[in-house]
Amino acid sequence: MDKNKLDKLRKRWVIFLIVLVLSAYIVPYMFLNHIEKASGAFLYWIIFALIAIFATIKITNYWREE
Amino acid sequence: MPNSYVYIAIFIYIIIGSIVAYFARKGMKKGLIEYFLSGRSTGGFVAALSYSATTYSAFMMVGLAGFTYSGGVGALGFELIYLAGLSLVAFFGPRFWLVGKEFGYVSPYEMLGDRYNNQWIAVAAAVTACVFLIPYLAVQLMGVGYLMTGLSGGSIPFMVGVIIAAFLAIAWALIAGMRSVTWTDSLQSLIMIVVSVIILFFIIYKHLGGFVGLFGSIKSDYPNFLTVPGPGFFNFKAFLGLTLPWFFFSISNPQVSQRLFIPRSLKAMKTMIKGFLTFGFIYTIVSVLWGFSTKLLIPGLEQADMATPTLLGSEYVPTVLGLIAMVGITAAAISTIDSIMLTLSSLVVRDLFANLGDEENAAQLRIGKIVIIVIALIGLVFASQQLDLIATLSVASSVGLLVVVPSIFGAFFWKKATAAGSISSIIIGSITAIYLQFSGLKPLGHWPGVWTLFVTILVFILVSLFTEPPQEKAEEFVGYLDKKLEEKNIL
Repeated sequence: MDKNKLDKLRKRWVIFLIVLVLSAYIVPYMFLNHIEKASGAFLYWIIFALIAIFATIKITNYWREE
Repeated sequence: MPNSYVYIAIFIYIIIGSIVAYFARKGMKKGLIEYFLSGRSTGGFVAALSYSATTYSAFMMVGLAGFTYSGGVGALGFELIYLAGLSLVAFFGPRFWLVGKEFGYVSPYEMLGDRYNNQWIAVAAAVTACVFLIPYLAVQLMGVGYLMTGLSGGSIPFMVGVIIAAFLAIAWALIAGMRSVTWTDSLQSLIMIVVSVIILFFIIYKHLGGFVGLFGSIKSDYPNFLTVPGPGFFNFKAFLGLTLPWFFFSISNPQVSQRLFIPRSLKAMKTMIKGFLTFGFIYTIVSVLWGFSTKLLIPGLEQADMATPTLLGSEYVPTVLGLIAMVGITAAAISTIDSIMLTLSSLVVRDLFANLGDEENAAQLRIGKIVIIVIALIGLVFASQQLDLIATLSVASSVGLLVVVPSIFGAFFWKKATAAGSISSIIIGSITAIYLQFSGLKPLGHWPGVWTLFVTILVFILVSLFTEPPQEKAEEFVGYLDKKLEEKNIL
């Protein structure tokens, strides 16, 4: 992949991950703090982690040996 | 449960683990790279299991379950934010691996020293790691001590568990270095995950009416445990103070960042990351649900850290399962301890006493082995002091290790970063961490981790702006990486 394309992809993923991680603080503390159910913060963090896991795997899937 | 059962279970575990360690030694070659990095030729599967076992310690089933027991669902958020921090490895992992091979680094701090062209950075970082990782190691030893005491109803003294754990960690690190550590880690990670899942299902289906029953009971009996701040422990500033150091754990802690040097190929590293993420996701949820289950079955415990040992020793868990769980948690502790000892030993040999000679030098290896024993003994003394809440201490250790994070970012992403910036940020950051930790001060209500990271970044940037960067080395290092990243599609 050429450098420009790589840089663009890198930037996009970094921004996506930063937003995702910030949401793991903001959403449970600001929007789910009154929902006393498993479908509140518990579910949100599970979904957050799954997205983070798939994003990380997706980034490693670009790699090639040579 | 009778003491003899506990001893028999531990004995069987010691025998099986030692057989694995012995077989690891059989294929071992000579030399320092072989001893500390398993020859940079670890396969993806073993690397994944070993990474998991090293990262996840007795903290999970003892400390995290305790956090859930006292603070509710915030414990889940805390640990999953840590897991999301593994996304850093998708960027840093291949970079560490590439420069490690090209420039022959054994320790991550050796890499910093070389990149910034100043050996004192490696020395400062290595000292910091020793200062902060030995308490972390002691916490693991204490985990085993608490567990055996709890399970035997107090009749096995705390120090017996501590000494058994220290002895095993020394043995399995000495037998074949990284090779015996990764092999025994793999065995131990399988024990950890299988055991924790089986017991969780047993408890939930036998005593709590399944998962629906578990959440139903939590919702009716402890509704605020499903929210943050919840019962109070996880107020926002505490949550931030706890999660921030752990988010950077994968690059700040040398015993895990050193693992980025060991895969045999990029494909193996990819398998390592995928395997670890899967393992971590399951293990986190299991540990948190374990904490919730204990809250429902045995409410009113004064010390949250005792939730798991008390549950395992209670009538809710059959003796055999309790014993297996004890082995699972002991495995989690020992797999972390031996990795820390091995890594610290490599830091001492490569960074503190870097002029001992070339790689094949027997003196370096001999000293490395003595250092492993010395570190274990210091950890043992620390553990015997039985300091307060196990989980908080464990987090405190990772606060101090944050001080190398800006230097690591700078090494790869900022050519103008300087040696003076790196070394001053490590020293001032460490002083900040130690001062805040010991004084108990929380300026503006923020925890030591937040301030330590802030101060370290600030010093690193400011000092770098006013000093000369090692231009030639930066060009060589970053230039080499740029070429390789493009070739290999690494983001």
